[in-house]
Amino acid sequence: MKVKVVIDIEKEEEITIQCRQVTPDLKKLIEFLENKNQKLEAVSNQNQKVYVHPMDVLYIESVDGITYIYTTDNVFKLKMTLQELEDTYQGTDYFRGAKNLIINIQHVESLKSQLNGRIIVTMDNEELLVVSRHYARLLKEKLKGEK
Amino acid sequence: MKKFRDIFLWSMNMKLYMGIYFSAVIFLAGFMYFVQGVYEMTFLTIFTGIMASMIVALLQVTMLDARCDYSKGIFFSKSLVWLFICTIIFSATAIAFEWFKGLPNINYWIFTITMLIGLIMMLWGEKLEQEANTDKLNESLRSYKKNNS
Repeated sequence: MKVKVVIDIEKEEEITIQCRQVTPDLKKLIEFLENKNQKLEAVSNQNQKVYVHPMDVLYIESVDGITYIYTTDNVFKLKMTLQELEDTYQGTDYFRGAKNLIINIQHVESLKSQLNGRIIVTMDNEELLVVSRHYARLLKEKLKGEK
Repeated sequence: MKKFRDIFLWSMNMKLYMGIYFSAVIFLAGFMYFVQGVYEMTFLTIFTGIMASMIVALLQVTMLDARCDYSKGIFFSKSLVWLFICTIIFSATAIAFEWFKGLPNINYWIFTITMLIGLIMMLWGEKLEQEANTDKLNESLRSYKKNNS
């Protein structure tokens, strides 16, 4: 398959895929491209519908069965479950850090290793999150580009 | 299965520490014997040495568990208590089982102080390991962000 990138600052960004048929790999790629920029439909504290760009999300947490997304200065409720989010944003900067937590790696300020294998994550807004031992191994693999 | 794995890992960690302390005890006592012209060590000294090392290692994995944060230094309330108790254990074992019988009493002081330094070095080692892992992680994070931004 030939990959051609044309850089033209005058034109709007557009991706065209020309193929004989949509193979499973191609389908995954299309889903990835679509999801990467698809805004998340969330609900604000005032019960207003808001759309949040996936890249603006710092982390997503599930508390008592409710999914919350945290941006730099807001918290919104989300209708999707963590599992659905994980499946949708597979291969992106989203990383499952614990059973109830998804972290956006692009908003991680620093990481701190603990002797029990857990990792303390400092987010851009100085919030601290804990990546459990099981997921810490996966995080290391993801950072190295193995996952 | 998960519980079994956790217990297994915990005990492996404990045995690793125990091995390090036992080697240190035998090497130090043996070296002190050697320089004073004693070329044998009793079974009781070896046995009580391994028992003391086991208790010290058990206390380490229990008191100074992996949640301890060494980034601000190795001396904090828990580590100071652990250092105090472990120094007493090694010292008391040596005195109670007469490890340096027939040798000047200063041997007990030298042994106790050297073991205390060894224990402090162990904490220092933990701090270095934690820092090295953190540096490695942050390096990977920077590289990931650079490649995926």
